[in-house]
Amino acid sequence: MPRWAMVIDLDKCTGCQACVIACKAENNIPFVSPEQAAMGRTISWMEVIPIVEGEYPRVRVRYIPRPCMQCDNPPCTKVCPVYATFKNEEGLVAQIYPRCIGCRYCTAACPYTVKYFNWYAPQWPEEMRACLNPDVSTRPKGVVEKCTFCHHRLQKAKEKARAEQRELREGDYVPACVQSCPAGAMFFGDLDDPMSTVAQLARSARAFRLLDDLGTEPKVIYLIEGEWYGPRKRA
Amino acid sequence: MNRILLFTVILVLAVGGGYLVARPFSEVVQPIAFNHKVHIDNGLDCSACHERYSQAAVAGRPKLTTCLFCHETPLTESPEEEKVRQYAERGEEIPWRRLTRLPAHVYFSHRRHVVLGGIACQTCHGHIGQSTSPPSRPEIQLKMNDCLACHRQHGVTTDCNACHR
Repeated sequence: MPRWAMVIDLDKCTGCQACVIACKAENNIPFVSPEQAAMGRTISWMEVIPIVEGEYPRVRVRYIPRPCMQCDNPPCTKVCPVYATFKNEEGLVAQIYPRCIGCRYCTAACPYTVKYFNWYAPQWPEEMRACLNPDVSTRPKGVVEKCTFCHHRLQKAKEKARAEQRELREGDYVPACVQSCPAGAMFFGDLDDPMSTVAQLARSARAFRLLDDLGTEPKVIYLIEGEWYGPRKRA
Repeated sequence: MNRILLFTVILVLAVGGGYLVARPFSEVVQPIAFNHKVHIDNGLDCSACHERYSQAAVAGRPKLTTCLFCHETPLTESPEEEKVRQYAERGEEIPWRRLTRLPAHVYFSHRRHVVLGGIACQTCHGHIGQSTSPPSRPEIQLKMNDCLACHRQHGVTTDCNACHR
């Protein structure tokens, strides 16, 4: 049984937001009006968080693309009273919309703030309705949603592999963000396969995980040269 | 005054409640009174018309060209059969309506179940092949418990993520 994981190389990331847009298009992420956005109700399963370091004229910006961490020890699933969010045997933290009662315990429990509540029914301009991805359902008002590692792609990839009478290969299943990254900064695969790209990168000395000390054991692994915290000294 | 108000409230509740209970289910009316049984009896398989079942998630409703393959010239004197050629003359597809529907948050693939899983069409679609006129609603109303019972029986995944999307 694979254990799906993502590796993001922050030294390669240019902060171009291609992953953000790819995610929104792939997963039918609803728009949020400026008024709602001002209330903190923006939905963005993938978000590029800028971190500005230093002061003018010696300013440096780092970018962290932040999807759901798909924790191996997820805080969000423990508080769900209805089993709408849970970790499946492949390590994916699932979110089952018809089960969700909208209590938002998971939203509060997630230390990475990747869970989003639908404050109203999603709306799209008429011209965009035909562009919605039929592989992903649109969420009704009153449920929580989050990055699923594009698991609808896994459903199709598994079926295709089965029809061709073979095992799932590396590259058969890749989320939209990883596929779209023009800098090649993102990798995806099976963490339990020691020969996979992600497993090899995860063993690198450059690897770290966000808020690792919380014990959430994220399966999104970041790579960066040198220390992560604090501005770097220049030679 | 109070009595009139009370009476009005009761009347509204009774009419509203009665409407909710007696509200007709959405019935599916097909453009042509298609006879499944005649086609099956003449040696056609389900896949002869629902031909995408082996390749795609949906089995598909037949295109006009599929019908015209046999019905380009009249085989019977049925006025319903004549409708097929009328659609052809107008250059329109036959607007077959979908009978069996699953919610949008469910991923169901015919290829996965019929070709790879070897499940018979009748398991979910009942005796539609023996119907002489189009049913207005599916014989089997599929619920998640039906899916889960079958999945458990065959020892396949019951992970929510396997079907929900």
